[in-house]
Amino acid sequence: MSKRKLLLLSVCVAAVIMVLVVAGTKVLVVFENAYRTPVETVQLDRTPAMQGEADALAAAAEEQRTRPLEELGVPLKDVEYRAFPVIGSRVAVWSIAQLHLLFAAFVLAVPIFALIIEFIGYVTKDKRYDELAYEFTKLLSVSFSLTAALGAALTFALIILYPRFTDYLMHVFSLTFLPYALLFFAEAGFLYTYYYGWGKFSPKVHLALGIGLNLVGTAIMLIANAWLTFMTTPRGVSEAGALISTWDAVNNYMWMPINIHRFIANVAFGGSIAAAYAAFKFLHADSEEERAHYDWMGYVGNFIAIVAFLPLPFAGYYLAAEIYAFSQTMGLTMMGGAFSWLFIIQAVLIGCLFIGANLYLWLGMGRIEGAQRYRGYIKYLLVVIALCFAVWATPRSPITTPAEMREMGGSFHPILGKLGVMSAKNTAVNLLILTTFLSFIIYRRSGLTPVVSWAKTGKAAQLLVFIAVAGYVTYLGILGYFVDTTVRIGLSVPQVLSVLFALFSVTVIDIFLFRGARTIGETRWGTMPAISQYILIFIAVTFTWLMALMGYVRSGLRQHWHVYGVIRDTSPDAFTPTLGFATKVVSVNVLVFFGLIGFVFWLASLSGKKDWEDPEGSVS
Amino acid sequence: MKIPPSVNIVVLAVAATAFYTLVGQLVPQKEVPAPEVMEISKDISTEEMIEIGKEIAQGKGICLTCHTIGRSGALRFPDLEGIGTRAASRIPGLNGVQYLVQSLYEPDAYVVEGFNPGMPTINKAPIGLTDDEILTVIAYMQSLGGSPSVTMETKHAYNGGGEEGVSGAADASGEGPAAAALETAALSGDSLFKSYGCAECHSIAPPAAGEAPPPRSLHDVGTRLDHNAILATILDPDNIPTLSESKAQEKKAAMEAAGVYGKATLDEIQAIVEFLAAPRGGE
Repeated sequence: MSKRKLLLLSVCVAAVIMVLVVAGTKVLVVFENAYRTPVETVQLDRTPAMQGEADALAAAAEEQRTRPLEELGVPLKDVEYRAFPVIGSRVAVWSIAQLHLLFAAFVLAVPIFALIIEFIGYVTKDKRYDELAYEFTKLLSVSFSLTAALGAALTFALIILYPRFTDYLMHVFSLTFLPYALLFFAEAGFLYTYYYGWGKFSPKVHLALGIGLNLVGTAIMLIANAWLTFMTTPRGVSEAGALISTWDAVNNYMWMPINIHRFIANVAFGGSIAAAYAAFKFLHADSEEERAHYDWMGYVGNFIAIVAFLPLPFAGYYLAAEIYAFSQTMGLTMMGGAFSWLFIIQAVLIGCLFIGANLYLWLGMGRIEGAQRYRGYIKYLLVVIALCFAVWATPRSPITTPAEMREMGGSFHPILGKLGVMSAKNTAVNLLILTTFLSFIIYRRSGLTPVVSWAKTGKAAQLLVFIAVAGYVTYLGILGYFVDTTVRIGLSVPQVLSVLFALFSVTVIDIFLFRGARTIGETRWGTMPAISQYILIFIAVTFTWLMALMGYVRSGLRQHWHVYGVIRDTSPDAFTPTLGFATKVVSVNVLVFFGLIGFVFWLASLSGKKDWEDPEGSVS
Repeated sequence: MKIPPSVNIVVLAVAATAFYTLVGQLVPQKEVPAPEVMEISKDISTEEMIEIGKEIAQGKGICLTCHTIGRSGALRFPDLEGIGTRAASRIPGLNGVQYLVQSLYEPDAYVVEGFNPGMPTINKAPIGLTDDEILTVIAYMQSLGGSPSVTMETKHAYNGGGEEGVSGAADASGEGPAAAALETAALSGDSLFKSYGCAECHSIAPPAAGEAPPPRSLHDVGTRLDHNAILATILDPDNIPTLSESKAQEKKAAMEAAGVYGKATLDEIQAIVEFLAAPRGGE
């Protein structure tokens, strides 16, 4: 057997062993050694006394298992809360958690697309992809250390500032901690081997390492997601909070929707940060060659971000639907109560993202010869995006004075109020997605002419799909105003499915339509105007701000509960702050994150710099 | 003078966050305090009850997060305008107070046609209003198109009124005490224990002096297990350490067939737990 095959085999075996160790830990260490009544091997005719004794023992064991910690005599912390100076405990934990999550998202996302790009390079034998994947991976090692440091800081902050609540979470999730720790070690092993092993192993072995890194990273995310989603939609515990089933606690209502939503959002976020890195390097580039490289890298990063961003609202629907399924009260608090205005802020952010993404694509068409023929369409796309943005950002109840309210005849504007409901907003966001997708399709074909015999039919079919789906989505949106609430809620599903159908079918047609297409104009990488790079940075800032804001609403939904409906927050911070205050905290966190990520960029760029030389040229 | 790109980047990042922060300041600012239990005197007037009830409905009761008052069209939840009079005719056999009481304590028992179930049980977490607070909310609801008859002394099936239905309310002697009694009976752990077939396998009668209890007797389960443990064994017989896996499966299947998992509400199971946990001697 060759050395390469042996190495590949070893990596596979190591990965399998790692998975078995983690999975087996639960069974071999935790379950097998848990206290329980010895299993009888011989059935005896029991006397009533023996039966009573056995029952008592069993009852005692059962009681131990289901009672809350304080009833078991396990000394919970005497202190329920401790104060953090100046900013308070809540803001301290909020900021640390947010920074930890932002870095964690980046560290989980980059390996996903680094692996995909590396794989493309492996299949196409194009070294540029391999180099690009390596450049993305260079950002990982420092980020991983920062993620771990912030994670440790978060744990300490929780233990010190919220000791009793942290005890409770540890009681519920004690079975998950050991697998988590082992997976974390595995993550470090895979990550550093993947990074330092670049070019040192055969491509297959290296790709296998990348797969291992992604699997372990995803498993870590799944465990951590269980902890935080349990706090909002608890399951597997009694009304008093006693643990009934760890698996149910893990598999709570929000767990799977958050897993999916986070996975997609992480990729979008990671892509945007990587694109911002490329923009940073582009703006500081000294040569045309360097600019061309970072222009391409920025394009790839942004492409990844937008491709992941398009299905994100659908994952958001699923998440919101599960929140409603858990508690309509919580759902209504989110969309119609204390947090309803937050979604107007979200609309502004997402609108900015869509506009930024489209603008970057349109500017990008300037570097492709042959794109001039599509320029005329841009203004129409801009009008649709602006209209959809306006609808999405229209509140149900505008901010008015009492006099204005009297004039309107209530808190809803007679005309604009109709645009503030979900029927209008769902329609607007679906059309925004379709329009951005259309921008991308136009960008993609800018320098190409299809040569297949059915080119005209193919283009007509694509146009037909766009028009039909846009029409259907609009029809369902209007229908929503005239049907019962039970029917209206269900209309968002066909809207989403039809848009997904458009994304899928148009892409499939496009792939075959442009197979072997004639190039009518080369892409002149590096000729993008500087403003396009600032757009990439703007998109990254907006993505980060959006993630931080949505992290706040996900957590803030619990209001005055640590664990919704189970463990009440009795601290001085139990109130829900104003959105103004929340956005200030979010902004500070985002700026701190960019300060730290700037440090990561700087460190990553050091590897390309010349070695230090003694200015006096001495050798001694 | 050419501004270095790094400075531009910093200015852009700060400007973008400042813009989003500004948007955050432009929307309505409302701080939501954590609700506190209200101490309500027993001798307050009806008007005071209505005032307090309104405050609770708008605040900690979060009724108006979902329900509207005086709106029509495609609504997500029933509008409360006129509920004070409508309540008495919603369910045959239940008077206005009984209907409102049932709607708050057991909201899924009756769902208005055209709407989905989903209202939380008001006396349980996360809302967790006290019985007295709920009486004031009922007074407020009755005031919406009707005349409040409820007082702070009103007793009903859910606040210790027992099987007598509503008492202490001005219209308590009217229609519906029999229905309320039925409602109470439906929640009685004793009857549920029998109706779900538990009694076919388990005895609850204490054994006579000197005699052994029959197999699977639960007469003393309340002294051996607490509420949580009893609940856990009902929800999942695998939690009973003395049962083998196959026996646990048999038990589960029997309970499933009897409708314990498919039909019984959590309140009914809780009622059975309460019944089993009650002391009945016979050690």
